[in-house]
Amino acid sequence: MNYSVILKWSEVWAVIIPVLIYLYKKPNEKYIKPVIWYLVIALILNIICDIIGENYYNEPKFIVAINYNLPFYNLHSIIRLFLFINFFHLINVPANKFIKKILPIVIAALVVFNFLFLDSFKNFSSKIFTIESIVLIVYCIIYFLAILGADDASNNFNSSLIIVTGLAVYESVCFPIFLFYDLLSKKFQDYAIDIWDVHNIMYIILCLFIARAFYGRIKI
Amino acid sequence: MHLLDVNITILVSIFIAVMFLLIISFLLTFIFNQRRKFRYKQDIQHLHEQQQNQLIEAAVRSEEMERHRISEELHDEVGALLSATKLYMGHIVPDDLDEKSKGLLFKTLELLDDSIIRVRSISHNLHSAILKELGLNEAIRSFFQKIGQGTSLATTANLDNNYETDSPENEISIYRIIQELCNNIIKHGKATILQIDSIAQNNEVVFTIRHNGNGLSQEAFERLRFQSDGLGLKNIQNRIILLKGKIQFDSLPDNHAVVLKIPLIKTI
Repeated sequence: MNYSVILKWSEVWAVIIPVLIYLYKKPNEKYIKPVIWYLVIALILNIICDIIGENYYNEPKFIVAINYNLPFYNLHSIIRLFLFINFFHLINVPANKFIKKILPIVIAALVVFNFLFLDSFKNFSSKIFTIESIVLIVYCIIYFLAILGADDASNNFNSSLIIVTGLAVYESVCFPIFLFYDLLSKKFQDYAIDIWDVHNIMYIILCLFIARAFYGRIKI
Repeated sequence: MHLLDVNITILVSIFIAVMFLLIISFLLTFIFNQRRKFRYKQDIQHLHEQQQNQLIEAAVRSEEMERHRISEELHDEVGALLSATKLYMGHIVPDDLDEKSKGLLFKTLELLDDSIIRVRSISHNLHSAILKELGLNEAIRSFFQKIGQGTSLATTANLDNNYETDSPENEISIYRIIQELCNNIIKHGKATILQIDSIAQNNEVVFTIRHNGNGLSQEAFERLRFQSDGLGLKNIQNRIILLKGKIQFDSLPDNHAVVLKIPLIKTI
């Protein structure tokens, strides 16, 4: 098994690490629930995506009809966005109650509008991934600023802060990839395949941060 | 066209690198800031504790000075007056008196003797002379012997001699804590058996006071020490803070114990 195969399947094995740690440590914080739901759904979607990707030239007709694994990537991004918004609301990120209520509805409307009028659900939608990145990065920044502005100081990274840190690293680095992926996959396929490896490395980092969060706080 | 294509891929790569550097810099700044804020909070808390300890120390020292002053005045003024009265009374010849007056004279002399002994005893309790001259263990032994004398209270003191304290002030504080606890046990606990043991181990000396009276639980101690008539418990707590020690109350149906753990003791 060479390096590229390990990296290609990283979206599957990386997710298994936090799931196993969750089963071992069983953290019972309320905000862990959307994260573990995300991991389970991501694991199922990533297995489907990688199996389809592996048998690219011998797929059944219905897989070819839905344009291989690309719809599953779109679905993954939408689920990640909504579950992590839920996570941020559970960790009490400082935001107006009205914004907290209206934001998921606005995002849902944008997603529907995008797939009705702009992109096909069968194709990789850079717009959806970019919206996901922007929204989650903004949430991460609000959370970090709230901690910086708080009176109480701690030399610990608690579980929620570890998850937010992992998410901030993943979404920030992947933001340019998501933004240009449509263009890159059409015009520079080789480069797009290479750059997706960077995404996979960042995804491993995100999963490791989540796994560490399930273990408990870190002293800084 | 080809040059533009290359430029776009380079641009995306640079964009990714910039985002990576930005997030890492942000996280490092965040960690640095949190650590600085945490250290600042710790410094403030440390200063606050230091200030509180200084206040406690000043209160304890002034109390000790006041005890010393009252003790000296009792001994030198009241004691001297009583002794002088006894001397003058001694010059009265009983043979010159009638039977009734003779009886009154003897009774007065007896009461005077009692008063002199009481005043001396109170003066010695307030003064820490024996502590300075003979050390903590001897002072505790002497105190236990005194409180058991002429009463139904059975006292025992088994003290470890293999240690010495860092400062005489600390010895005074330990002595006062034990004195206050024992007085409470006798007065409020109505004990008939009182025992003190001490052992020096792991850079601390552990005093255990056991008795068969009404004991105080840890919860009751925590509650009572904040009350204005807190049986001198606030005083005990202040001295414990000053000594950086620990006090623990173990309450059992027929046996109670107070455990005092005092650090910074040099084991011989």
